[in-house]
Amino acid sequence: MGSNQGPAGSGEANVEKSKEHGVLYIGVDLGTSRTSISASNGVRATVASLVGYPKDHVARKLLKRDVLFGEEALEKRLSLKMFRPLERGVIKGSEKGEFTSPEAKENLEAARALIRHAVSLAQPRPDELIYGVIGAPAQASIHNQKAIIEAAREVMDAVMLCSQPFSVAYGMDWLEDVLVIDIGAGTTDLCRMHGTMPEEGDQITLPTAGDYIDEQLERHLAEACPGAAFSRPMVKRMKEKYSFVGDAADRIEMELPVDGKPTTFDITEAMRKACRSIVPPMVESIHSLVRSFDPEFQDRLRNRVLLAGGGSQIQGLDRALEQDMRTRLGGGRVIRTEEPMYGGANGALKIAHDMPKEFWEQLS
Amino acid sequence: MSGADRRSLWGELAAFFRTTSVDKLKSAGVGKVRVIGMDQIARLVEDAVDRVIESRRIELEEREREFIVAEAREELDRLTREVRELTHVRERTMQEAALSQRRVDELRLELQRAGQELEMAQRDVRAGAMGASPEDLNQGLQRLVSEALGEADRAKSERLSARLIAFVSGYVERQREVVREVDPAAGEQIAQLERRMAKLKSRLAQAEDELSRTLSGAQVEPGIASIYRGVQGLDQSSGQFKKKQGLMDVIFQANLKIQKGAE
Ligand SMILES: Nc1ncnc2c1ncn2[C@@H]1O[C@H](COP(=O)(O)OP(=O)(O)OP(=O)(O)O)[C@@H](O)[C@H]1O
Ligand SMILES: [Mg+2]
Repeated sequence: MGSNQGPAGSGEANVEKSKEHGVLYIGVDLGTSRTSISASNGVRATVASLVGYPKDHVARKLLKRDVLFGEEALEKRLSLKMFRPLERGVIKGSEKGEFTSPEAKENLEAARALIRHAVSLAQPRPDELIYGVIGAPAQASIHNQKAIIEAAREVMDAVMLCSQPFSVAYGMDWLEDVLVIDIGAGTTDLCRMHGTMPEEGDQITLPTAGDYIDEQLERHLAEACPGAAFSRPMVKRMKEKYSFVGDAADRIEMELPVDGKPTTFDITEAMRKACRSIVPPMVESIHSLVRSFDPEFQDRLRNRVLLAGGGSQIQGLDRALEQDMRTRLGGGRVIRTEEPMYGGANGALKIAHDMPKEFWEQLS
Repeated sequence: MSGADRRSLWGELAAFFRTTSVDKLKSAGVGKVRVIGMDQIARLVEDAVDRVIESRRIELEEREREFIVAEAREELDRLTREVRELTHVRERTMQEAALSQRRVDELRLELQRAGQELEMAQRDVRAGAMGASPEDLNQGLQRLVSEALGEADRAKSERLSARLIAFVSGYVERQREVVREVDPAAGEQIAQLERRMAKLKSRLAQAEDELSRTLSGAQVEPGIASIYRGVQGLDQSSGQFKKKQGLMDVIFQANLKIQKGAE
C-alpha cells in the first residue's frame, strides 16, 4: 500500500493502524456547558456537556440506547439519570485523584462517555491515528489533568493537555503578551499569557458570565414586561439571539404571553442592561492584570486582548470594552476569535498539528 | 452479514417451530402441555441481537464490519446452540406430555370403570332399597352390607358400610378433579402456547430487521478521512518557528511528566 493512498484503498487486508492511513488531529475544548471539537478532517462539532443514562430497563428499551448526550439528553431528561460531568473545565470530583463514592464513579464514567462521544462526533476513520490536544483550565490540578488524560486515552492514540487560554491565543498565532478573556456560562476567565503556562497571578476568574447575564435579564424583563410569563431557558434563548451592548441597531420586540394572550414588549433596554452588566468587572480585571504586568510590555498587552467563549458573541462587546478601557487604562484593543464557539478547540487543533512527530510517538 | 446468512439463520430457527392446532393436539389426546422456554428463547434472541447492536452503535468502518459480522455470527451460533439445547428440553417435555397423556387415558378408563361401578353400586343401592321408603345412599349401602353379611355381625357391617361410603364418595370426588384438570384448562394452555409462538416469531423478525438496519447503516459511515496522511509537525517556514518550537517542547515535557506518572 502506497503511503499516499487515499481512503478508497483501505479496504484491503492490512488493517493495522498506521500513519500510512492518516493522522487525525483533534482539538477539544471541555466546557462546563459545552464541549467543542475541531478535527483535521474538517469537522467542527459541539455538544452540551450533558450525559443521561436511561433510568430503568423500560426507558432503555424505549430510547434504544444506553447513554444519551447533549440536547437530546436534555429533551429526554425525564426518563434519564442526568450528569453534568464537568465543572470549571475538569471532571467533577477528580480533585483528590480517587473516585471513591458511587456518585463520583458514575460521574467519572459520564465524563468518559462524553469525551468518547465528542471524539466520535469528529467521525474518525478507525484506521487513522488520533492525536488529540485538550484545553484544560490553567488552574487544573495534577489529579484533574490525569483524570482527563485517562478518559481521553480510551479513544485517542496519544493525548496532550495544554492550558485553555494558551490554546485560544495560539490559535490566533499570538504567542505571548496576550490577555485572553474566555466568557463561558459559569465564569469569565481572564488570563495573561507570556509562555505556555500562566501562573497564579496571571489569572482572574469572575462569576459574571453567561448565567449571570441570564439572571440579570430575567430581572430586567420582569420590570419591562409586567405580567408576562417566561422561563429561564426562554430568557437564555432570547439572550443568545439578541445579545448586544452599546448602540442598538434595531429595537428588539418580543411577543410574550400575558394571561395567555400574546403581547408585544420592547426588550431593548433590558437586553442592553443585562449584557452590559459583565463589562465593568471585566474592565476592572483587565486593568489590574495590565497594571501588574512588566511595565515595558503593558502597552503591548492592553492592545492584545482576545475574546473567546460563547459570551464573546455579544454584539458590540469588543467596542464597549475598548471604550471603557480608554477611560480606565488610557486605551487598548480588543479582538474576537474567529469562531467564538471553537476558539479553544481550534487552538488545540493547531497545537496538535504543530507538535513534532517524536513527541507524539513518545506518548502513544 | 449477507442476506443469505440471515436467511439460513432464520431457516435454522424456523426448523424448530412446529405448527399445530388446538384440535390436532386434542385429537392426539394431548390434554396438558407444559409450555417451557418459548419466552426464554425469544428473550435470548432479542438479547443476543441487542448485545451486538448496542455494543456496536458506533461508526463502523469496513474492516471493522468484518469483525463485527464475525462477532454477530458467533453470537448467533451460540444462540442457535442454545435454541438447540432448549429444543432438546422441549422434546423431553413432549415425551413427558405423552406420558401424562397416557396417564390421562388410563384415568379416563378408570373413570369410566368407576362410573360403571358407581352406576352398578347405585343400581344395587336402588335394588337394595326397593320397596323401602326413599333413603339416601348412606342408608342403602348400609342395608346392602348388612344384608350381605346378615344380622350376625352388626358392628362389623356398620364399619364396613362406613368405609365403603367414604371410599365411594372420595373416589368420585377424585375423578371429578381429574376431569376438571384435563378438559378446559388444557385448551386454554394450548392456545396460550400458540400465542407465545406467534409472538416469538414476530419478535425474531423485528430483531432481524434491526440487525440488518444497523449493518447496512454501518456500510455508509466509514468516517471522514483526515487531510493528513502523516504526522505534520511544525512547518519550518512558519512565522516564529523557533518560538513555537520552544512552546511545543514545554507542553510536551509537562505532559510527559503527568503521563509517565499516570501509567
Ligand atoms: N450569541 C450569544 N450571546 C451571548 N451569550 C451567548 C451567545 N451564545 C452563547 N452564549 C452563552 O455562552 C455561554 C456558554 O459559553 P461556552 O460554551 O464558552 O461556555 P463553557 O466553556 O461551556 O463554560 P465555562 O467556560 O464556564 O466552563 C452560555 O451562557 C451561553 O448562553
Ligand atoms: Mg469554556
